[in-house]
Amino acid sequence: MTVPTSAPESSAREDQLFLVLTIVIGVLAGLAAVLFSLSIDFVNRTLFGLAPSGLRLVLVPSIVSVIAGILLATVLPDTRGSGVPQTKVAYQLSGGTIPARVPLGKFLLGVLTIGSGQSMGREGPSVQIGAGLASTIGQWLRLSPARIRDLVPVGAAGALAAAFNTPVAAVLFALEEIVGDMNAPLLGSTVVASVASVIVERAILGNEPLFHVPPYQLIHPAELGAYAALGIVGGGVSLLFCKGLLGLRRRFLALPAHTRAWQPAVGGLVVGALLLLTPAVMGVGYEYVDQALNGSLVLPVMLAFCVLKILATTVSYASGNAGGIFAPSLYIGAMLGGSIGVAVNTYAPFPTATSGAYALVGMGTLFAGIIRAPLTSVFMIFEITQDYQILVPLMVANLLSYLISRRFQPIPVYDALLLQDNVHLPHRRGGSVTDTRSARDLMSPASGEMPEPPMLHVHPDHPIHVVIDRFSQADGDLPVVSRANARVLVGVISAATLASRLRARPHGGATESLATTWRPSGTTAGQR
Amino acid sequence: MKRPSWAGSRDHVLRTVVPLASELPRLFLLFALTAVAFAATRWFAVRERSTQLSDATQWRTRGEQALAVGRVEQAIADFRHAMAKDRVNVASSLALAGALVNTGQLDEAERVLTQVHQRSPDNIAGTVLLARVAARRGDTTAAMAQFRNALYAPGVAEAQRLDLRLEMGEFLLAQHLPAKALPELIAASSEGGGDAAARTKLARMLLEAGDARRALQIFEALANDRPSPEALAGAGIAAFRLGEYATAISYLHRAPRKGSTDEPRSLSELIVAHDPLAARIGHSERVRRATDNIATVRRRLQTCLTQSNGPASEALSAALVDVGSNTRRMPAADRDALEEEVASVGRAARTLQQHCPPPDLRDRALAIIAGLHASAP
Repeated sequence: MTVPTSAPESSAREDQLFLVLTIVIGVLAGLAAVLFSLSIDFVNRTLFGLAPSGLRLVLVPSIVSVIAGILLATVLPDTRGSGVPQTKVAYQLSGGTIPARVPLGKFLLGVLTIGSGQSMGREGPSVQIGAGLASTIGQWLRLSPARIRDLVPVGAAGALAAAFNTPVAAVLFALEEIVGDMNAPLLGSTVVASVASVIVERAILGNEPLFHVPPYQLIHPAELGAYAALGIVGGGVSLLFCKGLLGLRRRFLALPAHTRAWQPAVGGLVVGALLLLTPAVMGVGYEYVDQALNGSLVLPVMLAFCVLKILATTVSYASGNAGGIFAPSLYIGAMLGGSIGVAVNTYAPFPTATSGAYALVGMGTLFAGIIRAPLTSVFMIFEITQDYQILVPLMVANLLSYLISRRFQPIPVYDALLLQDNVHLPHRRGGSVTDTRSARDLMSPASGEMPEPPMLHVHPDHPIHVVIDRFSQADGDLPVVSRANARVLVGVISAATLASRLRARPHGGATESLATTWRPSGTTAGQR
Repeated sequence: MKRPSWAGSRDHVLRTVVPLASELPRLFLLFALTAVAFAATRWFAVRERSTQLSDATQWRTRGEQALAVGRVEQAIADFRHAMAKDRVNVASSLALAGALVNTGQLDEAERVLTQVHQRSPDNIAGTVLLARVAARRGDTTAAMAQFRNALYAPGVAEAQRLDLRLEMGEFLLAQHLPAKALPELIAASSEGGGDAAARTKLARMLLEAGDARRALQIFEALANDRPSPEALAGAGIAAFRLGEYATAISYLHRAPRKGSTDEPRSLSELIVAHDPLAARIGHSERVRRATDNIATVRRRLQTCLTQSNGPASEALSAALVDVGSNTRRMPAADRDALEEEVASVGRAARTLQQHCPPPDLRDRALAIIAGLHASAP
């Protein structure tokens, strides 16, 4: 049998492969997420035992974070932090190319870090693992760069669906956060992967929900006012968390480069000390979220957990450990919401729902304020409760939290983290998925400049051969900066864009400047 | 030349399958890897699940140990850990709910128990705990409904049913609803099973609910079978309530002396010793007792008169006159005169109880004696 090789046949081959792959990647991403979660539990129990001593509580996160820090500084530098920003970069700047060592490394470091008690979430790393698996498989099957790129959100959605057991929210998160476009043609593929992943997850772990949620009821219309108050306070706390996280991380980044390997150990030591106060800040902490949802915690305990979790997560993340902020944002939200719920229960002159209902809405509120994925936040809580009645209070609280957070912290936390790493996304949302802004809008609002020039960049006057040479060193797209001031971003150029422009000028020489083949299009969306 | 009909289908198959054929080896390898990954993850999940169940058992054991030494909050924390490891475990859920009920955390206890009820609707322990939650809230209707659900659940043992009825009766008595408690206690008295402690408790509650006759029967049975201080005292008090003072004295004398039995015993002794109309005593003894009773109340009335004034003084004077007028008929000493005498002494004793503190057991005894014979046909 002869193998067809013409362009239409190649396209047909890719279409068929892509359909099959979305299912396979959904399954594999689901398996990876389940395995990741199980491995974290296994490592946690192995390291701490059933009832650890105080010494063990301090030593385990400290020692493990030293090992993790060395690995992060030497062989796996791209597995720091959550994984969501890196996945966004891979999708938006690197043509979806993620080296195979990234998902493997993230798996290993995530298991070690979260399993050793660092106050971090497993969903962000799962997203990176899923996206990395998808990209690796796409590269192995020699798909076109465009198709490899399309597989990234597919893998991310699959992994998140299994990690959090919310298939719809996973699809929305992939589109809202990774792709940045709710109208993306990838909707069908992400849905298929998400469904396949959840089927696998339930086949292995059963149908037990992640949280046992009490039945929700809006007892009195005036309660909407209380939920609005929760939204406002939640917005403030989201802001506090984001500012604290970014501020502390900036300080860690400002330290000399040779300290990079030891920085995670600082996080480990601080978290170890906090674990002495209460083991409730350990790891993902969904056990305690469940207790808040069921009204098992009293007001001072919930407030204390909220404050300690903010502190522990901020230090864990800012010091460079591998883990996410998805779960901590839900944890903080549950504790804050539960606290407000108890206060409302006690002092409101009208009948109110249980404090668990407020904890539930609080989870969505903090997620909307911190992660800034408003649709995902609403659907995620809706999927957890499967209760239509919660939608209105949830939307009221989430919207307020989102608006407050957006007003005082215009750059979403994942994008701000990337900016701290001198990575500038070509299409960054200020909240609206239809927002397209020029490259200059991406600069610091105060000065119009980036804090530091990108490590690897070109400027419009660079000869083409230099640009090609820089591409050989870069993982993905190249930032194009002003010749006069390297901290001013003019735009971003991808290899595909450069190739198509060069094809349009077949007689152009390698010494011609980049400006002859490329112009900033005026909008970042146009650069992609 | 016309193409055969199958040619179109073949082309379609070739168009759809052949492009994929080049990747079939890699795809097969990918499928195989996926299958292996699925099997490995499933194996790991089963293994982890087994470890989690073992952890849950350990946490529950720790909780039970903490509960046994009175560290309830620690026990609750341990049970919660157990629940986190194994959410569907009924034993952990019930242990947690029980500890929560004991500490008054009723809302959470109810949620845990509702989940248990959804998973195993016939779980008797869960239903009993739900009844206790309702009882702690003072919700009599809900508590009775849950107790009855537990009583009539399939597979309830006889002894367990007796315990449930006792618990229900205890709750209703605590709610000051003896009329509602009595049918349950009567039903409990007809239940077989139950050790001496349970039957003693039942008799005590019957006595409290006002059924001294059944209480006496149970106490007597217990006292005859294996005399215990509780059974003897209970039988004595039940007999005292029934007006069977001689029986009361016989049991109360055998029971150890303690506060709750002192008064009934002393009263019973006074009643038995001073009743002029008691059976099986001679005529002269009847006259002696009557004369003694009159002298006692007259002495008491005169003493009291000197210390009182106003309406009390008038009442005491009237009583003294009443007793004096009857005394004049004493030499006849026939049955009617004795009954009249007992009645007037009883009236005088009630006046003394009312107007001459502190209370005197002899006054009470004389009033009771009068009551006994006034109600006789």
